[in-house]
Amino acid sequence: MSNSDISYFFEPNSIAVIGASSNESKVGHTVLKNIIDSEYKGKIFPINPSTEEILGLEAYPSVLDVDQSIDIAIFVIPSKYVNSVAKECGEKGVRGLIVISAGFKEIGSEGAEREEELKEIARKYDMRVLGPNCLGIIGMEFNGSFAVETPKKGKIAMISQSGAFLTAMMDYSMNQSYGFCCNISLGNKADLSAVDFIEYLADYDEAQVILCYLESIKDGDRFLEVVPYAAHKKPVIILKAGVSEAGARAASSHTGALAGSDKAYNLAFNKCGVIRAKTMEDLFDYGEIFLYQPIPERNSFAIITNAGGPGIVATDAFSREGLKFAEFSENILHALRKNLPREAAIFNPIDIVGDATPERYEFTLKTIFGLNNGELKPEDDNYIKREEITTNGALIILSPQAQTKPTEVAKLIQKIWSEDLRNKPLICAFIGEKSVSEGRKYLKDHNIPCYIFPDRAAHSLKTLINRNEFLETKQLDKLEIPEFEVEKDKVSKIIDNARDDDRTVLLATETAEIFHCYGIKAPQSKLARTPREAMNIQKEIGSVIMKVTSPQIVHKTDVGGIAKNIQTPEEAFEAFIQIIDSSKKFGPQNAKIYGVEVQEMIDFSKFEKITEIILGMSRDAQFGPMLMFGAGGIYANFLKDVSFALGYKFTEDDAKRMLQETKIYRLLQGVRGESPSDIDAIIEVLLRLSQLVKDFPDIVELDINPLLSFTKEYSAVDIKITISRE
Amino acid sequence: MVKAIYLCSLRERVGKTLISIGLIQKLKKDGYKVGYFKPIGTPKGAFTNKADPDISFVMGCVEPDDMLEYNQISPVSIPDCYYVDLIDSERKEEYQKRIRESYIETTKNLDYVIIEGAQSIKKYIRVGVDDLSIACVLGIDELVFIETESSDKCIDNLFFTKNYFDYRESKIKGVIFNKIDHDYLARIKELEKNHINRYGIPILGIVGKSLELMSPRVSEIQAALGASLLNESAADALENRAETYIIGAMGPQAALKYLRQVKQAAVITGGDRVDLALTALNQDVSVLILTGFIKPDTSVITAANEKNVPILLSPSDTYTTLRNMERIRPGIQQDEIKKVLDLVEKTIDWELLLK
Repeated sequence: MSNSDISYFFEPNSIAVIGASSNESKVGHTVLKNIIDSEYKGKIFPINPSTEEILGLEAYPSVLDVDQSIDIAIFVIPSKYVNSVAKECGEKGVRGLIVISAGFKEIGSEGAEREEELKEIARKYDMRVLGPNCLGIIGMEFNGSFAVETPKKGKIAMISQSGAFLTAMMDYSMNQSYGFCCNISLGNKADLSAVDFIEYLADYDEAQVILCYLESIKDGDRFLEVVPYAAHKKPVIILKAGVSEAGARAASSHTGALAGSDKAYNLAFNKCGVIRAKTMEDLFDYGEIFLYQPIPERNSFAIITNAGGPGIVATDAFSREGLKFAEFSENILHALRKNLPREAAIFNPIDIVGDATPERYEFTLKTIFGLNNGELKPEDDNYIKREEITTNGALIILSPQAQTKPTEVAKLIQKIWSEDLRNKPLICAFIGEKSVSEGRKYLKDHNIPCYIFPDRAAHSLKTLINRNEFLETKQLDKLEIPEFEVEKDKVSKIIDNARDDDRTVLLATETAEIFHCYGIKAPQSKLARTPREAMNIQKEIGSVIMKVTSPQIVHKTDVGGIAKNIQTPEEAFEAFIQIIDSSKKFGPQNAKIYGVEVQEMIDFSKFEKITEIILGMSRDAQFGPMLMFGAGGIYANFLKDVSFALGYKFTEDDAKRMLQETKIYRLLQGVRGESPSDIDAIIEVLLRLSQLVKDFPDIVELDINPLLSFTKEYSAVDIKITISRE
Repeated sequence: MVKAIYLCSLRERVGKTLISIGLIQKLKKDGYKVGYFKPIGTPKGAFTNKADPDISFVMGCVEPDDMLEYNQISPVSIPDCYYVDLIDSERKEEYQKRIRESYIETTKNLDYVIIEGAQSIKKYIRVGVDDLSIACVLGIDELVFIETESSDKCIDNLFFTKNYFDYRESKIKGVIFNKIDHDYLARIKELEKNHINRYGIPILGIVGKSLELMSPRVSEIQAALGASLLNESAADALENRAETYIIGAMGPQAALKYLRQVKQAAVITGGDRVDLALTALNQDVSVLILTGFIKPDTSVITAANEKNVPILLSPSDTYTTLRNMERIRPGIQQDEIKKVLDLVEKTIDWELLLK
């Protein structure tokens, strides 16, 4: 479906309601009423062959009977009639269809066929489709859904794969300060997906924050292309459900979509600058904070509290989230010392003690942001100058004590923030309920997020900092991706040969050749097909390691398919027989054994330091190559000291970050007086690997375990490459 | 005069029928008039069902030039079980006469005849209608020996056979190695120079194991398991082959690693493993076998229908299901005879064989 302009779903000039009804119990009635009640300014055409008028509007037997143009048609008729009417819409020149009707892919084969036919019709007539099996859409100009109520208007754009989730969230928001510029229910995503809407909303001025509830993403390539652009313009927050195995199962049965691997989602979200909400609460916490609070320039915050315990809890939360405390200047400390009670703690976190009055909160807040020089003039000692201010935001904690006046404190905080501190994030935690709820509500109603406990507040601050870090990164399309000189044609031939031989797992000799073509160093290797050939190769190479060569045998050690330290031709002869025998006995049924790889053995005594590394790639169905780096060797699967990155737009910085995320990185840097390993060489291998898997989408899995890292250079000892069938 | 290629072996299930089908097709393709002859058939029943299924199958596959009667192509029928009671040593002359007459009648207009010997060269030796005796009766002095051992034991088999043939004053025309493991192909070439040539036995061909022809059809699996087909719309895919069996007991991401390495897999998993079933259906899967008689979620059936993959509901637990699958002895199907021709055509030394 080529038509990428979907603005008519948001600002249609005219809407037809297919299946509009006078019967109040029918969805067709609710939808039409919602459009009318939302004071839609365009034309509305109820379509119903059995009546002439519905809710005061002239009804038409068919869209073909309407003598004016129609932008969008909303379907609320039984699924079996949808496709024939969709055809009529195509003939009429309707641009977009919103299919609320259920009875498509979600019910099984018959429905799936119907959905395919609908897609075909839309393609033929160049129409875009939202749904089927959805709640509809609620925009700034109209409510084209069967939701019970029209939510408040505001700056949040909400996209949801679940209609029920959407209605629940709209209901929840009724008591909140924020509202929505659009609520979009995706349904089965026969055509339009979240990515299409995110792309549109990126440049839609009414939307300040985009919130999504998604169970799966099918068009991963487009997601990677479109979402970073949107995320640089405004926060894109996604709650991706189906993370756990049980959750994935529920998600699969929900809309017939296959849930992708969660790791890949995390990597893709990070790459694109998507803020991932883990819970429904997170989703709205993040939405709220981005809507109202500014992004801090640096990770440097203050905590102001009137209670020691909650202050410590907040400090722990700061440490957990990686938030940093601002250091106050001498002048700030002087002012705090002079004006706060003796028992107050003036270093960050600042404890203004239990009897803190609203004025004490005011004084402290103003002082740390340099707004409170009292009688002092700029030339006086102790005058707090602008450049002394290192605090980029604050968490204000209030615990109700006898002298505390929560609502007054809230009002003062809000006043200071709205008058002088709008460029710094302020977040509050008013602990308790009965005596503090009014103050909390006041803050929330006046755009300052206020939580019951400090942990959530710290988490929200961290989210703001993450956003700042993302905005400081280069946009993906401006990144410089290194390009090495390689021999692509040779690799193509090797892959074609393997396909001709009906293999998906490449032979060791083939993988060694591919690595050679891409400038990755691997030991000399030849294939022996008989014990005698093994003897001859050993004579030629010298010390060797021998490994069974069979596409079906993945874990060679497990089947006794490896013999190390072969020094003589006789040993090579025996090792060949033992490897074949053992591999046949313990290998998988029908394993096709091509022979035994005879590979040059690394002389460990030559090297001062050897570290076993694992590098790999697994191609995710949605987001493409996922690169892996970590501690290698036979314990790799048990240690699980690995980090991942998406192969998409993979840079040197990505490679460095991958290394830094692991524990083995410390060993590579050198501990206890050791020399450092050749870290630059490993980074280059990662970059070359990313180029290889980008050049050859045929490669679906790749493993190097181990890659031996030396103080200078390295050697990729055991390589496995799996290609796709086509 | 007709030229005979008499296939014999030391033991059963060496693939004589497959080689016969390949030879007949190739010779027909080259413009020769070719026939098939099996002196002693092995029917299922002793009295009621006297047809050897292999014979009917060969006849059906290769459409011989002259459609002959079954009894003429296979004049003697002796079932495989308790056959000592059913074959009378006193009737040796009669059997031999019947075989000779049928052979003459069968081959009168042919350039070549492929004779498929008994299960082994020992069979019916007590009665005097073993392969070497029959060859003698038919005036054939050279037989083609088929060997399937993928180890150095094949040399002992060859040496033994050679000595036995010498003792019986018969000759081996050459050996066809059949169903050889991939890892042993190069070794045979090595042995040829140093050992096999010493016995004066030429190698007429080395045919590797064909996973494709040895794998069962989904319909054969269905029959072996007593399983029911859940999605009738994928009934045509019951003719798919299942080359590998995979048990899905791990998580979907872990299973993906194995699924990507195989093709045409039969994936066996619990009916309640929706996640795994959906992951498997995105890969090259011939059939989804759900154990424990647990019907899956609608999403699984929808996905299977989209991919045209049959879902079989097995009444047994996972272990029993797999065990029953391993007992399947798949046969060649009508639509695979072209593959048999391809396999045989490129691996047989035709010049040597037809010399």
